[in-house]
Amino acid sequence: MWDSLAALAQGFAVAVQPLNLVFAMVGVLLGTIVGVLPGIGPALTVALLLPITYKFDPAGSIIMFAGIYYGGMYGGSTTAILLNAPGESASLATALEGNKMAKAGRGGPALATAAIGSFVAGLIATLGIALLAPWLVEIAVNFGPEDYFALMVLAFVTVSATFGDSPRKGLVSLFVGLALGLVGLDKLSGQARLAFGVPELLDGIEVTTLAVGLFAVGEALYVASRRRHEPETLEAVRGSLWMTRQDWRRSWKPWLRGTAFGFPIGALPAGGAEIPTFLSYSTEKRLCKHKDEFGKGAIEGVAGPEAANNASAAGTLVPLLTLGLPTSATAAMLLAGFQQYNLNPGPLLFAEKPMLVWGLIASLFIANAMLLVLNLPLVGLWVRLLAIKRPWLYAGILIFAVTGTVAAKPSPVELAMLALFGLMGFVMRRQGYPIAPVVVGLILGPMAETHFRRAMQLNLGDATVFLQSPVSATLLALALIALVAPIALDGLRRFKSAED
Amino acid sequence: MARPHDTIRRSGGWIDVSDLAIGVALLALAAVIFYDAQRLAPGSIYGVGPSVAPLMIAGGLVLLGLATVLAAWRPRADAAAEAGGIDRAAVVVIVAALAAMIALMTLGGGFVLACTVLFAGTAWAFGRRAPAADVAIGLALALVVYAVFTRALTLALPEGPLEKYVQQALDPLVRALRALPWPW
Repeated sequence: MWDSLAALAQGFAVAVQPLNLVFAMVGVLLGTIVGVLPGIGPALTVALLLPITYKFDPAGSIIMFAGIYYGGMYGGSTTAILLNAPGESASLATALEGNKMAKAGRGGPALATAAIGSFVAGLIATLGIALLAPWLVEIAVNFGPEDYFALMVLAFVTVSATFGDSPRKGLVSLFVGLALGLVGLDKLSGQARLAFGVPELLDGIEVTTLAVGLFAVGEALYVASRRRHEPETLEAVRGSLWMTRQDWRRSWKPWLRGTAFGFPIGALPAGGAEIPTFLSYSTEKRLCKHKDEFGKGAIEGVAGPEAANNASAAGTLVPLLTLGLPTSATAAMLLAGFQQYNLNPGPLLFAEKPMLVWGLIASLFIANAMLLVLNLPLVGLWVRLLAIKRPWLYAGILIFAVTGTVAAKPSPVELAMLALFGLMGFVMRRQGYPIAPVVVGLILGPMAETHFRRAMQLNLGDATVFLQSPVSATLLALALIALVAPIALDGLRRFKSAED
Repeated sequence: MARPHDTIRRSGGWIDVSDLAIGVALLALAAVIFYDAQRLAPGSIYGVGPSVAPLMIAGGLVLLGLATVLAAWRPRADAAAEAGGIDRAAVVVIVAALAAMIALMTLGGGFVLACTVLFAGTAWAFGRRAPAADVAIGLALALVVYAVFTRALTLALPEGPLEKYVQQALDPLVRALRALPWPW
């Protein structure tokens, strides 16, 4: 414990260097601006802003990413409250109560409790990262390739099949991502797979192109196709911006409870921020003395889920930094950010580049504090971004999507893939297939294959190695349970409803 | 009840055409991966060759494709009856704008022109009917993005006839900015 606090202190020494503070500030600002825009969630925020950092040094740009990540989270809650347009399912609960508050002229306190709750959750969760990470790293050092493979299989299942409306749809998304991950030169044998003689495909498919295509182009197509069905109304922030004494009294416990739900579930690769936000929402609804207010704008329903959302987002950084395991689309984009500098998060990174890792963790604290200062007084400015006309907004998003893609890889093939992934994202959105598993599958698939083959090679082709290691056997068993349980429950439910 | 969008009536149920198409597409993808894996040379003696992962993934896709085809058949027209159809024209216009952008970038039209066309086309698809204003806004946005990316971030973007003049116009500005006393 003292070791990690000492390391964290060194990290702060890195983070408070003037240039790094500038990087954090720029990241926080860009993250908030892009995150506020409707239809842009945190994952797309990071994907769109990734090219901007291509020419910076690794430490600076990763610190900037910390700011973008947290900034995108804050920005998303503003959109949810004022526009009732949750950028992602984790903001659904916030949109539910927060938008009602805004309609009742209590938009100010709703935004304030979201911002302060996010700050409190971010603070506790970031402290959790600092304390938990060194401990996990010590365990992970002893992991063999078979254990890593099992860990990734578990992540595949939790990301795709455990939650969401249909395990089949999640698995379809995952396998499409895994198939895309095959494209390019095989790392171990040097043979080209699924490249069909196209030189641009030999390097594999860029994660950013896939994410920007699915999220940005796909979203633009989807919104354009349904424009006539869903008119939006922007709530102005009327009345006081500040929380009353009663607001504070009703908010602080939900903040802490939300954090308690969010951080462990985010850190445990247990699949996304939806679960903790809804757990928090239903808990607050049950515990609240003003039950009748729920559904009409209860402040607890904003405070709890917002804290849970932020805490779980910070929690996903634990498996990402210590094991190199992305468990959300946003974490996958952050991993891509690391990889552009040939940095591979995991136990080795903590040993080889402690200043970089701890500088990043310290920057998360700083970004969090900056966001609180930025968000409360400047909320009027962000609100104005929400008023941008939809045609210009989506046309602008497409320009940025194209710019990032063509700046990273100036080739018609890359642009054609962007458009193609856009169409794919549109069809998936329309048919209710989740998008995150595709992104996670693309980035995690090749890593899982490498570990699988290495494990087999070390054990002379004997596949029982995955069951002999206690860690790997346990993880695979968990994955199997997580895969079969929802399908079995679904089957049971259908069986029952067929009987009725 | 009216016939739900994109469905075919069959004796004893409905078939969701979109789900059916996705299922068939998954099976086709599996076939392509399977075919591609056949021509890979085997790996080392003990290890697992480069064709094992593709075959595993192709196998998974076959199962999921079959499951999706089965799911396309519905005893009742429930899920397919979602709110209304889609604005096909809007989707077609955006796809056309994307295609025009790719063609312009590839054939030497340059970044600025390509992005202007994409902006105006997308705005049209979203229901705006003021092409002159949208072209002007798109042009201005593309110019700003071009200036920031090529000068401030020193990233290369495709050049066409317009970009040369933009660079010439930017030079004095960049020189003036460089001359300022920056703290670092």
